[in-house]
Amino acid sequence: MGTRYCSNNCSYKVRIFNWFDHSNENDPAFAFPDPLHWLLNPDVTVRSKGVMEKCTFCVQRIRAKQNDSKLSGEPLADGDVVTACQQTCPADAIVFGDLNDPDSRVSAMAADERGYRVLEGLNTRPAVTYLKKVRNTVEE
Amino acid sequence: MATIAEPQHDTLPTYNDVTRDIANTLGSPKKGYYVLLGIVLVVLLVGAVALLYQVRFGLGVAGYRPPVLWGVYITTFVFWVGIAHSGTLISAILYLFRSAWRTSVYRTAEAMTVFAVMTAGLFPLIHVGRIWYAYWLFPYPNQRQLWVNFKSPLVWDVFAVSTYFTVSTCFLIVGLIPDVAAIRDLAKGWRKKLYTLTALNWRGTDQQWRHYTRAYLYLAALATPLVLSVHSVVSWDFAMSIVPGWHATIFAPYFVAGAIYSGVAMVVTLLVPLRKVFAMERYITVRHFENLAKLLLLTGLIVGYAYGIEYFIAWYSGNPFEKASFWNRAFGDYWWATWTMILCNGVLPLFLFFKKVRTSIPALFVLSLFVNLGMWFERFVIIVVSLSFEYEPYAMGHYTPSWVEFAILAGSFAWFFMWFLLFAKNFPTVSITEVKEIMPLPRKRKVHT
Amino acid sequence: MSRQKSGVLAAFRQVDAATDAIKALKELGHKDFIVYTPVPNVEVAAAIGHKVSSVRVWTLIGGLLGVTTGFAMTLWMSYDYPIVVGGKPLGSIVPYVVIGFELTILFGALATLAGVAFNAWKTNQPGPFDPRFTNDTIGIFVPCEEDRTGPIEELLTSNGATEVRYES
Repeated sequence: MGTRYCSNNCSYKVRIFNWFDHSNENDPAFAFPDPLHWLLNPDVTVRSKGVMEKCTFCVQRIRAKQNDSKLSGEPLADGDVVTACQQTCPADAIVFGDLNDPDSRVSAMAADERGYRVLEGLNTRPAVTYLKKVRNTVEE
Repeated sequence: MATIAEPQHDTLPTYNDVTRDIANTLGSPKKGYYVLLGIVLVVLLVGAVALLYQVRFGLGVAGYRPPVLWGVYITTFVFWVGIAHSGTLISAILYLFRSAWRTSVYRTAEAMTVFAVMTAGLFPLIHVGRIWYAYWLFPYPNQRQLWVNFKSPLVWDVFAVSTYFTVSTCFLIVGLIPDVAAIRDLAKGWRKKLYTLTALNWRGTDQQWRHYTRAYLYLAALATPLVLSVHSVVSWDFAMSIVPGWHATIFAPYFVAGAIYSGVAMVVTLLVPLRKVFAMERYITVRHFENLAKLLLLTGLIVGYAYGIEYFIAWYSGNPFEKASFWNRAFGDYWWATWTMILCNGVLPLFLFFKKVRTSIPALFVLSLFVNLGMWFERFVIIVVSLSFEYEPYAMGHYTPSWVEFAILAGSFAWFFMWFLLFAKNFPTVSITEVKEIMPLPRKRKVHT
Repeated sequence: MSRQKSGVLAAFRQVDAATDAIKALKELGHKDFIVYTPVPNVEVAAAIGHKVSSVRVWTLIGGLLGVTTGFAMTLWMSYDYPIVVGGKPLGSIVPYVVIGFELTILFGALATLAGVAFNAWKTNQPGPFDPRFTNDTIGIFVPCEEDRTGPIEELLTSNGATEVRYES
């Protein structure tokens, strides 16, 4: 109900709180007057005031693919689920997949020696792994 | 009880004096009382309007700025819960220790406890984003078939604070019953009806006392571990998290000591004017204030020690985040809050080492106001300053409370004092029964001591 | 519970006078007399010699019920809607100690209240009352028939009663 405790405990501060009623047309804080409502994703609810938000790794896309696989009877393959950020990234810098599957592309990349995680020392075990830039330290 | 038997026999009031003097404090208030009550109600109204405004437009009207998502409301919540604690200390813990001096101050302290918890209990609700779903805090069967997360310290808090409110209210009411009966037998008019109803047919028979004294003892025995647990649980809201400046094992004892410290200060703040207005000098003596001052000194020293240890551990642990957080506390944007807290809570109580200060009521009154201020700032420093300066530099921010928060803060004081004012004129603020209990009854044979 | 009884009502100013009278009454075999005291008094209680109140059993049962409820509720709810939080086992005993503890206190206190209410109701002794008994006077009421008041009044007065009267 909006205690915001999760945000206090988030060392990355990636959580966003709905301070005002941005989704309510009758509220002065309404954020999507015509034509801005076109940018809203029909698969995602815009929550009312007092609710905490966070990136969900596009849970609506994950669930959709899971349902598809249930209906067709074929198990989900690596790379079936594509998150929105991954889809729009022109440099293909974002890879999404199952870290529990040792053969997935994302597992291989996370295990790369360039891989590092933010604030790893806190043992928060984040799901996002970054790859370090390769620099030629000898010539610099 | 042995302590009271020998001194100044001639000046000791009789049982009849006690009943009369305390019953005289009730009823027919003077003009000043209504003026005070009026001021309190106006301030309360302002606070209520601010709250409605916030509920209507959203929490954005408060001054929150990420990453500081806990601000004045949680600060004030912890402040009031802390205030509550000394009441139970004086009424339950000192009861178990059989301290005779508690009898004339405990009722005020206990009423303060109940009203402070009533004030504190509002703040988690004011603080949450959707106050209209506050009942989600309790595990009740619902159509989502979902239960609360019992691993969360916030749920522990719900259980601890609601238990504390229930038990301290029971304790206050049980203590009041014989007193109300004593007043019932003096009162006239509609008050007689009120007290007849609330005395629950109390007549002081041997059977009634037999069950009553046992029940009171067990309530005290239950309240004692409860009071220690409540502020420990409140402190675990912070200590269980990962925020530098919160994540420390010293938090539970540190908070309990701080709670009793601030509560004793509030007891002094309330008792000084109360004693004057109600002419209670005969019952609440300088000795009582000196004992309170000693409690203040003891808990103040524990709090001061905890401040020192916090900084020491920040350095000794070698944890760079912890070190940076404490450096920021002392010399960062909020240096003024930190130094207010250290001055009020760490330095000023040291004056209590002087007997002259301990026995001077004006000095104690002024000191208690500073301690109240300091303890509010302590919670502000712990909550706001720690949150504003965490791990990642990109996620640091400065928080300034808005007028809504100040209005609600003022309203909380008004709410507390409204209850206290209503209580003081309708129920005895000094326990009739327990004051009598420590005085010897007349005898036909002389006692040899 | 029953209709108000008739008997002798005596007022005492001195505590040892009252205890003497109580002891004398007990020696004569009186059991159903009522003693009113303005404050709980150890000497009076010792003279009457009641057994310890059974409120403590209520407190104990309440506390045990509370701790059982606390652990049973948290564990059952954790398995009823199984969701792993923070990588901890579904039924984590350690955090549930807090809930178990708080409910022990809560149920214990409420049971104590219920216990004192029940016992006071069960042992309620109807009898005449004087408003001074909550102020500074100890009262003793001895139920008896009108024609047998003589020896009782005599006993109470000789032990130091300041006032003795027959109430019906």
